[in-house]
Formats: sequence, structure tokens, C-alpha cells
Amino acid sequence: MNRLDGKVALVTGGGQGVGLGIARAMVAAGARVVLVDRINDRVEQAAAAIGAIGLAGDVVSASDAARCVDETVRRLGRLDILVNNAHHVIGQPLLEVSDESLETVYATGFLGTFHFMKAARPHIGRGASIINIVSSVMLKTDTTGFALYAATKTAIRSMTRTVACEWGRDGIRVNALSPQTDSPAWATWSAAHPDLAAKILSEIPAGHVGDAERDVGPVAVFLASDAARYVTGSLVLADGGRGQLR
Amino acid sequence: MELTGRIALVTGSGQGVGRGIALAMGRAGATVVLTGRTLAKLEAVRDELGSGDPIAADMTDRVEIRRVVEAIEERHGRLDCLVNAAYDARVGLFDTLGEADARWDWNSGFAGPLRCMQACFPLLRRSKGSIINVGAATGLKPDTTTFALYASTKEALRSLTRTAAMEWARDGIRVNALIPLATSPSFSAWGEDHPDAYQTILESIPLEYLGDPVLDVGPGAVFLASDDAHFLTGTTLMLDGGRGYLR
Repeated sequence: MNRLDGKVALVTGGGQGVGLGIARAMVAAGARVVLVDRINDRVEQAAAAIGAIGLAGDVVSASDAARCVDETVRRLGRLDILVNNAHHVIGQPLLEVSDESLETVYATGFLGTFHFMKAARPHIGRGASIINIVSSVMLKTDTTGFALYAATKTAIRSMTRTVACEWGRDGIRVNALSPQTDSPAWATWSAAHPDLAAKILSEIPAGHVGDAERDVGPVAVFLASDAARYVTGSLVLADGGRGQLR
Repeated sequence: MELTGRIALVTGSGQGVGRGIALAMGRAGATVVLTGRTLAKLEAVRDELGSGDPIAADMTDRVEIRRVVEAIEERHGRLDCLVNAAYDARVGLFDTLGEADARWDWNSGFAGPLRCMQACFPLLRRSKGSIINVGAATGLKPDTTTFALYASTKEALRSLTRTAAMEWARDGIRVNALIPLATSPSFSAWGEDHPDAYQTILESIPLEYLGDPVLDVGPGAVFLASDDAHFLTGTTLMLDGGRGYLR
């Protein structure tokens, strides 16, 4: 028996990387999946490749969020799982942070998660699971270069906790998931910063950067499944041991 | 006195915790630049203190922040401490909050302090000064109901505090957060709307009283700004009668 049989999942930023890997794992676990991505061609190709539905939408827009959720429910009849993965991250020294980068990192990360949770709310009920993707960067002692990334992920983690508290009695679970995976963004960044990439690799006790589908996907499937019915408001690390909770 | 000859900029100093910190720093010898949106409140704090430099300004706006920093350089020649106390929160159940609430809260409690930190950086590097960001215990509690924005903005500010401490340590600038639990007009107003929750908070304070912004929170800020705290950076000081527990 597949653990997500009968469930419908929507994954933002699903056109590539962590989102696509999680979506693949959810399809394999029996879910019907909708991918949302800013870039139409990318999301259509990705959806075709994994047997999902692709929708073009920008997470910074509340109306795009409502449209994507409504279309998911119209075409698949329900919504059970929401994965808020999309986030345009900019790494730069604090002194170089402009209002443009503030807007980008805040709106694509925090507001995108905010919009999709609100859009999903009328359509989800008991047994639903929301997974907000965060990062072990926010747990690190030295967050040099990641002022906005660490802060917005921290804010998303905190909002995750609040919504879990507020929606728990309606049977809706909300958790944060911190992945450490290979992705196009990681590939580009690590090629441009080989020394920093080597440092990150040295911080991963598992010894390798995870695979989105095989290493992180099963953890997302677990959180989305009824097996995790007593897990909410939590932060789960699927990062090869890089982050430390205390 | 610990802060004699020092110049401190305290945002949101017209009331509440900002006022308490401004008064305590002034009484510890600092010249305090008082900023906030309402000049009359700032002038009242100056009159109470018997000194100080009130400047009405919206400290989330880069142009206004620059005007304040230029005034500080012109009138005082230096800046030793920036205290980011200004914050206008949006509180309510998640289902009742909209994008405008989220943006307002973030701009007030995160983007504003970030812009102030950037604008004060050159003066603080020159003086080997420090920054104090006012956090909130709300984000540390297990049940953050109604605080989807408040808790997340304040926790993001503590994250920013940490990053600035790491990046600016080599410039000789210390950056810390403090988490107060004290009387303030906004806290009192919230207490009137939520008497049971307010009472629960009062009963959960190990030292058995709600702090005074001048007498209980102020001295912590004075300490963080003083040379005695020269080895403290990137950390959070709890000034809450023992209610919270950082770990």
C-alpha cells in the first residue's frame, strides 16, 4: 500500500530542485501532485516527466496562490498536502542588502508561504498536512553572508509553529522541513563558491549532499502521511546531520 | 557613570520599552537621540530626563534614517550605540491577517531595524560601538497563537542580530538582542483586551512582577552598551524576570 494513496498534493517551486524531488517521491507514494512554478515551460516539462499537473504561478501573488489552489481542487477534487518550497534566496553581506533584495527574499519566501496557507485553508480539513521548507542555515552559529536567508527562514519556521497552534484543533498539521540537497541552485552556487561548498560538505556528518527525491522525499512523504498524525508544529531536519536542534 | 560621553540613538523612544531604555541610558550618562513618529512624546521623554535630542522620524524609511544619522554626526560628532526598539506589531489569528498586515509588521520590526543598522554602520565602526535589538519572548513560547507575524518578525530580528554580530565583529561593532518583559502602553492595551492571558503571563513570572521599562529593562541595555559587555556579541539577554528560557 502506498502511503499517500487518495491524497492530493500541491508543491510550490516544483519545477526543479528540492520541490521536484519531493513531488517525485509523493507521486511514487501514490499521491496525485500539482506543481506550481513561476516559469511555465519548466513546470510543464517537470510535470510531464513525473506524471503530475503543472501550473504557472508566482507565489508572491495572493491571487496566483488562490488561482492555483482553486484549479487544483477543481481538477483533482480535493487538497490534502501543501508543500511551500518556493523561495528566491539571495546571499550577500548585510551592508549590501538593498530594498530590492529585501523584497525578493521576503515576498518569495515568507509571503509566498503565507499566501498559499491562506488560499488552502478553505479547502483542507482533518488529516491535511502542510510542509514549509526551511534551511539549516537558520540554525547555524555563523550566518555570515546569509542575513536575509537565515532571517526569513527563521520567520517561516515561527509562522509554521503559530499556524500549527491555531489550526491543530481542526486536524490540520503544519511542520517545517529543513533539507540539504543537490539542486540547480546548489550546483550553480557551489560552482561559483567552491571553497564555501567544500566547507558546507565538511559540515554534513552523512558525508554527502542529499538527493532531493531519495534522501529528503521520504521524509516529506512521512510528514504528509497519516503515519505522522501526531507530528505538528515541529521542525524536522533531513540534512545529513548538518543542523542541530536544541 | 558607565555611559558618560557616549551618544545613543534609541528608536521608538517615545513610549514603552524604548522610553525606558532611553531614560536609563540618559541617567547612566549618555546623550540620547530620541526618535519616534510623535515629537510631543519624544519631547516629554527629554523633559523627564532633563537632556536628550528628540527628532521625529519614521525609522523604517531610508531617507528619514539618513537625515537622523546626518543630524547625529553634525550635532554630536559620533554615535556609540543604536537601540532598535521601534515596532508596530500586527496581532491576530492567522485567518484574520492579510498581506498588508504582514508587510506592515515586517517593515516595522525587521526591515526598519535592518536599514537603521546599515545607516549607522559607519559611525559605529568609528566609535567601536554596539547595537541592541529589542526582541520578544513571544517567539520562544510553545504556543504562539495570534502571533504569526509578531513572533516571526521578532525571531527574524534575532537572526539578523546574529548575522550582523558575525559580519561586523571584525569592525569592532558588537550586536546583541535583549528580550524584555515590561509594562508598556501596547502591552497594557493588549492586557485589557485579553485579561485572562494577561493574568496567566503575570503568574508565570518567577520573580513575581511585571518589569518596569526604566528600572528593570533599562539597566540591561545600559550594560550591553557599556564597556563591561565588551566580550558579548551575537547573543540575547533575557530581561524578563526569569519567565523565558533560552536553550
